[in-house]
Parts: sequence; structure tokens; C-alpha cells
Amino acid sequence: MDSEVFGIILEYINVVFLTFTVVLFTMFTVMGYLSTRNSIHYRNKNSFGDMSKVMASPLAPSITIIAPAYNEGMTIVENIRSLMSLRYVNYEVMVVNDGSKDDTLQKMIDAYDLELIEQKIDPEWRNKPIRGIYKSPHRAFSKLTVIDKENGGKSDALNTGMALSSNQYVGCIDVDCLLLPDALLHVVKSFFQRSEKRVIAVGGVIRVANSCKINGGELEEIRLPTNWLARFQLLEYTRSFILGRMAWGRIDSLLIISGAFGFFDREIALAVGGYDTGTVGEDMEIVFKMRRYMHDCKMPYTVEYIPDSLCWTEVPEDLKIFVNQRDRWARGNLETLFKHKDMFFNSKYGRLGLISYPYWFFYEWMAPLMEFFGFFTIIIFTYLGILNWEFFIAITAAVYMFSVMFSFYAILWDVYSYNEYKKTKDILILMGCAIVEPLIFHPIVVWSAVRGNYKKLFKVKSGWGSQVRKGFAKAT
Amino acid sequence: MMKKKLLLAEDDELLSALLNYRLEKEGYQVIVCRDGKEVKEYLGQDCPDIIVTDIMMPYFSGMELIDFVRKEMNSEVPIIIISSAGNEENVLNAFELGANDFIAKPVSPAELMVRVNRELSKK
Amino acid sequence: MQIRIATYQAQALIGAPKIHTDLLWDLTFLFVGLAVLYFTGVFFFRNRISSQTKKLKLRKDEFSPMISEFLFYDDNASKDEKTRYIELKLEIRQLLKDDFNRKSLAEILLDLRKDVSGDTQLRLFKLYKDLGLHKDAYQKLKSWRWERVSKGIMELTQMQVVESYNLITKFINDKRSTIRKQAEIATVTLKPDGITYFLDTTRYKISEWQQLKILDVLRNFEDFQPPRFKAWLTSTNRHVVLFALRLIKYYNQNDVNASLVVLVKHKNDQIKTEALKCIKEFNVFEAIETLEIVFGKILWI
Repeated sequence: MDSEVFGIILEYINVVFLTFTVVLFTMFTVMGYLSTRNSIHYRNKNSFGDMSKVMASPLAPSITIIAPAYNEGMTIVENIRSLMSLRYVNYEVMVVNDGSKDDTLQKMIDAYDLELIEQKIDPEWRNKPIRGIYKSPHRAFSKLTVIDKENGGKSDALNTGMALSSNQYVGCIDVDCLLLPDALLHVVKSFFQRSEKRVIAVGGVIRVANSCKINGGELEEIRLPTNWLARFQLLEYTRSFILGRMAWGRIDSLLIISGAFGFFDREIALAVGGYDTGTVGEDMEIVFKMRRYMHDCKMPYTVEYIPDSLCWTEVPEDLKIFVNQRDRWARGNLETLFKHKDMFFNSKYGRLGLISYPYWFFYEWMAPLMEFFGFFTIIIFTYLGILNWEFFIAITAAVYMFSVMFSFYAILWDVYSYNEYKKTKDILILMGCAIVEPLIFHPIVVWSAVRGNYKKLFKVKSGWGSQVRKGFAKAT
Repeated sequence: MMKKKLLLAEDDELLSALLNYRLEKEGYQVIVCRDGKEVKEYLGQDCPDIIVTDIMMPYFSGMELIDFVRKEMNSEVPIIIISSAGNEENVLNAFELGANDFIAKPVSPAELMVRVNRELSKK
Repeated sequence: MQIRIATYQAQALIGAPKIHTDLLWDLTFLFVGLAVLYFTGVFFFRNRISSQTKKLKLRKDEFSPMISEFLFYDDNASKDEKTRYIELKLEIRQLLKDDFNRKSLAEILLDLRKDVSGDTQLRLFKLYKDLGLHKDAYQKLKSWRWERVSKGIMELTQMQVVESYNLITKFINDKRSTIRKQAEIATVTLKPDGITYFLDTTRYKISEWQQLKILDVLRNFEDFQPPRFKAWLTSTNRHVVLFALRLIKYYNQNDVNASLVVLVKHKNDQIKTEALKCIKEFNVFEAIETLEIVFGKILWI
């Protein structure tokens, strides 16, 4: 009698997992299809025209690029230099020194001859206090503004920049991101190409800069990273940025814009109160907020996504830092999903509530946890001797091959669209990573996510409030 | 009479080839450099009679080149910069650093000839 | 995006029906097949792109000196140069019999066009037509694929083939947006009164980006005499009204006071804003009364 009940329960568990997987297969296949169509369409549409004259047009909008900096003394001067040589006229670079403990501020003052300027601060200033605003008397550096403030975290720094800017669009980037010279032109084009809907945010592809030859802020040569962890991440980014986000972009359901490269309509961003300083997943949270706001106001809008490689950044090569980063992402996910839980299957929010939110809930947040417990279940079953080996092997093989196939597809797409990794050796290495990933990289990611969720769910009650970071772990 | 040596620093292959042809037809001995590295190498060995450089180049921008020539090489060699649209600020800075003249893209080869000849006749 | 492997691993349990296992193995083989397909695909595309790039570069190196000679050919050249010139012409005609060569040459000319101006640019346009490359562009216009039509229009625009104007204006109200946008730019670029035709004829929206590009074309014209844009302030297409307002402001056509006063009451916010900007720019005092009515308070202009 008992074992029968036991058997039925197990059957149900089985059905749940099977459904999960089948939906996953279907979803990824659909994503692959959508992103392919979107990319091809984008390529054909945009291989026209000479954009260089446009940058000086009287109708070109003003942009502020906000780059928060914390203890970046080593590279800050070079990074700023590269930011100031973008091919666009009407923009400014606002570096927010978030209470660095090192010589970041001094390096900037020395390199650019910065001088303190008078400022009137809004008495209702809600961010951490500003210690000083600096500008350079040299014409060559007129685009630069440096804001020195007390430490408050990345969100706080970005909010400071947004509040002090008076331009139409703001770009939030990591200060050590390398932007290609035409980046702003592509961004403006994305903002301006819609005639009925308002474009509230624009995101782009992040490429992995590890081991690339960068000189004086310019990308000289693209190389495959030599570090094993960076290579896995490159593959992952290719899948998620090129296939994943392009697919979401096609159905206008993109829920996250990378914190390393994201541009926003300043008016809307401020209307929703800027970034939330209480969460570690601020880059996802602000997009949620902005989308909600537009739904609530019933204004037609869209979030655009640019597949061109415009932004290059370094990804963690150290295992500990990597795990911390993914841990933080998991916590951020949970915080944002929880904060906006009323969007779950809420048709008032259209595709967002019915498709995007559930996807994030089940496949980005819950999936690692299910995997983790699934793993233990297998161990238990094996121990109890009730594991159906035939079935187990078959399904493992199926999913493993699906994973490899999908990664190969991503690599194919990468080569077709960008052809940046041309050497046979590099391509074979990437494919090797695809084959090995489910056994090495993936468990690490799952572990980090589980750890993050554990921290959040069990220790969090004592840890709310604004997070003062030790340093800006790389967004993305 | 010896031909005047002209250093052409331009990374756009087509434009560079075109200007090279035109300048040689005008009677100059043209040394073409594709990027800042090549320029530095050449300048290490020889000094041209006049330099024509694009303001934006890989490895070593036109601005750095002007700075290098005026301050480190301590040379009065006339420098003409080729600037792209919207780069007015940079052009002004180039003059501050010591450039002699500029011509904006898209380049009119005829106009470039005029400016080159003028700079050289000043000497 | 993560592939969840271990999730389904837990489905292994007692007495799963045999059929499932077979299906799974079928799927596995399907995936292996696709993986192999993609594997070959990667190398196929990589090689194709690389070889095409190499071929193009070779052509560029080959054609560059020829093109230079054509562009800088002097009528009072020496006899030797004249002979060489004619030989070159014959050589090129031979080379142009090959499709890839024609394509490369057209690309090279298009590229160069961005870099040169003045007399050289005019010669470039003449060379393009002399070599008959514009005929290829005309062929593209007849294609049923929108990318090809757009590319054809763009080429003809860039090379200033004024004779193609009438062919292109037919596309101004084409349903396919990329073609339409290219045709709009072409119309405005090829003839100075193209802008008039465009504003009269377009039935579609004009995005901000498009307005930016069109204005760029206009302001880069030499000796451009803009039409009086007030004529379009009463257009039924509100995008035309908006664009006309912007053009009025840019070209300082301040004889439109009466119309501005009317437009401030327009229901579209963007038009209201733009009209306000013009009022401010042109110091239209007559508008104060209407502004007070619309906005309910005194405005300082």
C-alpha cells in the first residue's frame, strides 16, 4: 500500500520535471527562431547609409554618459579618454566618484586639470551628499564633468548622475567598458527610429574583452580569451545576448538591460524614481519599473535592443569573484521578482506579465534550484535502487545534446553576424567549451545561484537597506 | 631639384591610395603610413618636408602626432590635418598644439594640393 | 540562458513507459544531427566570409590605381599618358564583364564617394555612369526582395544619378518601410525640389531619425533655396506638419505667425511643443493671447 502511494507521488514529480523540460526545449527553439529572424532583418535593414554626418545634426539629441567609479585609480584616466573620443557631438561624460578610497579623484584632477565649480544643490537631494563638482578649463576636455560624492553604491551614483544631467537621454555604463566610436550614433538611431511608440530604453550586446588587445582606449585586435572561465562566459554571453535577448527584443518583452551598457529616456527614468538603491539587481529592476510605468500610463512604448557589438568589457577570470557575481545576480533576480510579484500572469501588463515575468520566474530564478534538488533526488533514488537507468541515460543524453546543439547554433550565429573569432583554433576551442560546459561551467553557475538564493532567503532579514559595495562587481 | 618628401598618415586605404596618386602626380615623394605605429617608426629615421595626417588613427591619433613632432622632435615641419565632420573641437585643439592648416572630409584633392603647395612655399 | 540538465534527471523513476525512452533517443539523434550541421555551417560561413573579404581586398588593390588615373586624368596630358588612359579604359571594360568585378568596383566607388569632394567627386559620379554601373543598380530596383531594391536606391542616391529620380519616386509610398525610407532620402537628395514632392506626397509617418537624415541632406546642399514650408502646416499628415515646423525653425522662415498661433492649439503634444519653440524663436507677440487661453496663465517669452 505504502509503496503504491510512493509510486504515485514519484509519477507526479516525474510529470512536473518532464513538462518543465519539454517547455524548455520548445521555448529555446522558438527563441532561436525569433532571434534569427530579428538579426537577419536588422542586418538587412541597417546595412545602409552613412551615419557620420548625422552626428553633428541640429536635430541630434543630447546625451549624458554616466560612469560610476569606485577605486578605479589604475585605469580611470585611460577609460575617460576613450569615452571622450566617441564620434558624436552633443554629449557629455559624467564620471561619478563614489567615495573612492584610493587616488581615483586625484588622478582625474591631475590628468585633466580639473577645477571645482560652484553648484547649487537641490535642498531635497535624496542621494548621498555631493562633495564637489569638477570641470576642466581646457576646451579639449569640455565634455567631462566629475562628481565627487560620498559612497552610496552604484545605484546611488547613477541616480546622482541622472539628477544632475539636463540632457534628454542618459547612458549608464561601467567605467571600464570600451565603447566603439560609433556607439552613440547607433543608440540615437534606436531611440529615433520609431514613429508611434516612445522608446524608453535601449540595450546592446556586451562582448568579452579579456585578452583582446586594447591600446589607449581603442580596440586593436579581437582575440579569444585565454582564461578558461572567460571562455565559458564568452559562450554564455553569445547565447544569451545574441540569441536570447534578440528573441525577447523581437517580441518587445525584454526585461533586462545590462548595467554595463544601457541608455534610458531620462524623463521616464526619473519619473519612476531612478535606480532602486535597496536592491543588488538594479539594472533589471529599473527596466521592470519603467515598463510598468508606461503600462500604467497606457502610453505606447518599446524597449529596443541593438545587436551590433558596441561595448566590450572584462569578465571575471577568478573563480571566487565569478561565483560572487552570479550569487549577486541570483539575489537581484529574487529581489526584483518579489518586488514586482503582482505582474505574475497579470494580463494587465500584456506580454510582460504573461510571458516575460513567468519566464524569469521559472527559468531564470527557479530552474537552478530545481536542478540542485533534482541532483539530490537522483542520488537518493540511486541509493534506494529505484533509479530507472535506461530512462535516466536517455533523457540525460537528450538534454545534453540539446545543450551542445544550441551552443553550436549560437556559435554559428556569432560567426555569421560578426565573424570576429576567425581562427580555426578559436572556433574549435569554443565548440569544445560547448561540449564540456554542462559538466564544468554549468554546475558552478547553479551552485552560485543556489548560494545566492540561500543567502537571500535565510539571512536576508538582517541585511536589508542600502548596500555599500566593496567595489563595483562587473554588471552585465 | 630634389623632390619634397610628404608624409601621408591615413588609415582609409582607398582615400590614401587616391591622395598618394594625386600627390605623386603633383611631384611629391609620398611616404604612406597606415597608422600611428608606422608614423613613429618613420619619424624615428627621417624627417619629411611636410606632414598630412588624419585626425583619427589607430594606435596614435593625429593629435598625439602633432604633439610628438612639435615637442619631442622639436620640429617646425608644417602639418596639415584631415578632419571629419563634427570634429571642430579637435581641430581647434590641433591648432593649439601646433598644426598649420586643416582640410575637412570629404576631401577635395584639388584643395589639398593648394594647401600643401602653400605651406611649402612659405618656407 | 542556461540549459537545465539536472532538472529532468530527476524524472528517472520506477516504471516509466518504454515508449518515452525511444522518443528520447530519437530526439538525441536529431540533436546530434543538428549539432553536426551547425558545426559544418560555422566553418562554411567563416570560410566564405573570409574568402570574400580577401577577394574584395585584392580587387581594391587592383582597381585603386586605375580609378586614381581616371579621376585625375588631365585633358592636356602628354601623349604617353593619353595612350595609357585609353588602354586603361579598354582594360576596365574587359574586367567589367565579370559580375564580381562590377560589384567590387561599384562598392569601391561608393566607398570613395564618402571621402572625396569637389571636382574629384563629380568625376567619380561621371566615372560610375561611364562604366555603366548604374545599370546594375536599375536592375536591383526591379527585384522582389526588399533588401535589393533598397540597396539599388541607395546606390543611385549616393552616386547622384539624377536620371533615376522618376523611377525612385514611385517608391515613396511603398508599404515596405526600408524601401520607403531610402526612396524618401533619394527624392530629397537627387533634386532640390525633391523635398517639395516628398512633403506633398508622403502618406506615412516620418520618424525622428528620418527627419534628422533628411535635414542633413538639405543643410549640406550648396546654394539651397528652401521652399516656404508654411504651405505644409495645414497638411493632413501630422508628421508632415511637425517636420515642416522644424524646418521653418531651422531656416528661420518667420512669416508664419498666424499659422503658429493656430498650431499651438493642436491636439498633438509634439506639434504644440514645436510651435511654441518657433514662437519663442521668432518673438511672435501676437501669440500671447492664445497661449494664455491654452495654458491658462501668463507666459514670459
